[in-house]
Amino acid sequence: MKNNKNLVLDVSNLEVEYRTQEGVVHAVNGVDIKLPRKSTLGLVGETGAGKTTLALSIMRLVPSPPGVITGGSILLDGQDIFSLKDKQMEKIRGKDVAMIFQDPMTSLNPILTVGEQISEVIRLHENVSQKQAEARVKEMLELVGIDGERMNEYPHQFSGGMQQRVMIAIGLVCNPKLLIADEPTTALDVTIQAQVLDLMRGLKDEFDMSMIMITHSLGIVAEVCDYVSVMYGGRIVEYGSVRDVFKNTKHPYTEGLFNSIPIINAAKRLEPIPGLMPDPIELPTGCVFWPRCSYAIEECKKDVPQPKYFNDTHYASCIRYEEPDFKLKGR
Amino acid sequence: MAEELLRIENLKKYFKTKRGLLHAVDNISFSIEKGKTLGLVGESGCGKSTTGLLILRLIEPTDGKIIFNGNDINKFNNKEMREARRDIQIIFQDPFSSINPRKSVIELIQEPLRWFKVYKDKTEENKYIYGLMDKVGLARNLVNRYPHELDGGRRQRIGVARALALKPELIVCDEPVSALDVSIQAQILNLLEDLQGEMDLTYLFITHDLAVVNHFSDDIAVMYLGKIVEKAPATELFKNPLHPYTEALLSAIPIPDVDINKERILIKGEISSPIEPPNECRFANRCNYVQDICRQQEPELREVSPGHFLSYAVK
Repeated sequence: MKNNKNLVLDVSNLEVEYRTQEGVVHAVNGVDIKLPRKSTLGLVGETGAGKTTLALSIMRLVPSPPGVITGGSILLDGQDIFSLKDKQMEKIRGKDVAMIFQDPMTSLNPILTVGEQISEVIRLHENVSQKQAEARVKEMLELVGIDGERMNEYPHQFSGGMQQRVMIAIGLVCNPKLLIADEPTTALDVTIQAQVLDLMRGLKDEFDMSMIMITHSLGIVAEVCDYVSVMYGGRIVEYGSVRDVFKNTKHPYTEGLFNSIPIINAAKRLEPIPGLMPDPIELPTGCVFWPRCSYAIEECKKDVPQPKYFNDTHYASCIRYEEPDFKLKGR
Repeated sequence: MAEELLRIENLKKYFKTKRGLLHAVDNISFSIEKGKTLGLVGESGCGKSTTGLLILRLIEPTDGKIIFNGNDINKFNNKEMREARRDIQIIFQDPFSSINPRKSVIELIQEPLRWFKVYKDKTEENKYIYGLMDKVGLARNLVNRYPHELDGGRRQRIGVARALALKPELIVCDEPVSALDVSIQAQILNLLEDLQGEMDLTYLFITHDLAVVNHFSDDIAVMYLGKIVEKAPATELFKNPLHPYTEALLSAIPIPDVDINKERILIKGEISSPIEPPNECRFANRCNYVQDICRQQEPELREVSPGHFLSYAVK
């Protein structure tokens, strides 16, 4: 890959599995992510696609056991995080890379004030006095649109949208290079979602950071992201700039996702993807999507398809593109 | 003229709390014609689910009429209400918590049939259940499975089968696809659409998802803090939203299209308390266009053009 200096995150061929009593769950199966500085990557896919496991791997928070990283590497700002000792990783986590979770009610500590939870991060990573930390806490709260005077209140005294703002403040307080947001607005109402997305977009520019936005909403991807990776069965099946992937959709699964969502003011009947997500314990051979794919042919069952590039960045992993005049039906 | 199946008149539900009366549903009226779908949209706490529960009389209203097929069901005694529930069914949001985990698929679908003693003959009952499973897209070999063995989409299909078992006229669908992945969501929405045509069903479709409601509904009513602020045919509402809240709600939907660069109307703050609300427009504190007149008294819902109802003091 050219010019790795420009990448804040470089994930190569990552493989993660969970060894459970029922069998081995193949959660992430050879994923590559090259994230340029100051850009936002959308990670889209349905339940069980491996999005969250991928994010937890970058934080080195995959629960182990049962989780095992069986292959690949992750370079965070050029540093191989798998070679770090736990103590070293603790220094990076929260400082260079931070994560916000879907449900702020369960990720905030209910018995600590929000101020304590924000200053905890500062004092863990920076050598500052209590007073300085307190001033920073106030500043952060104001930045995310909460009155700084509320720092001594507890999470339950805040609404869901406000709690998510607190999470964002915790994530950003040490000015991370990379922020991973795992479905940050899924639990929120639409008007509150709009406020939070607006806030995140503004802060991303202000803090000069890169962001991975995990979401199942293609609408959020279109509004917030520069690039998008579509995940299915632990693999990235299509990647490219948001414009390329949305305007020139190449993978049958991506097309299926688009056809599944109701479009405002279009009385078109939905065309759902038939069938269900594959069982990650027994993934289909070859292309993971073939059992649900209307374009599948015999060859699809044989080998894992390699990325086929349509320009410098845009690729889809589908062997049908070896046929020169293969095209999707379109939307 | 189409036949009116359900008519809600001045329906109210107040809950007593320590801090005063909570106005969950506050004087709403609407009607649904047979075979049509009314979408009831709004955000958390607007009273949409309470409205659904009131229509089934799973909770008792504080005041108002619920007229179903010409009869006010609030006047029904327990026995009459029980009979009426054959015709009014509900599908809940979360198929994980709304069906009994200790019953198998066949037992779950049997439940409503046995409750009303529909079949005396077991073979006939089984035949009907299998037919129902075919109809909602549940494979027959799942008949002895338990809910925890099934994914969310299949569980919701059980919910649909249970609601359909007694051949109801009206189904209250309370966020039926919100807990599901998009590809599964589309499967269930298509199923509900097909069943409506086949069985001449009438839906009250409660959701926070405007894209879904736009796709699915004939008319849409927008609720805010216990009130209907605007109601219109679906296409009209999306083309010509008149209430500031509707406008903000529509503009907040993320559109999956890179070429649409819309001006987003952000509304400030959060929903205010439904406890003892002051006599003013309930949206006034968050409204970008608030004027003195909005604070003087609560606006009434009135028809501003044929079929388009609005509760807005300024227009």
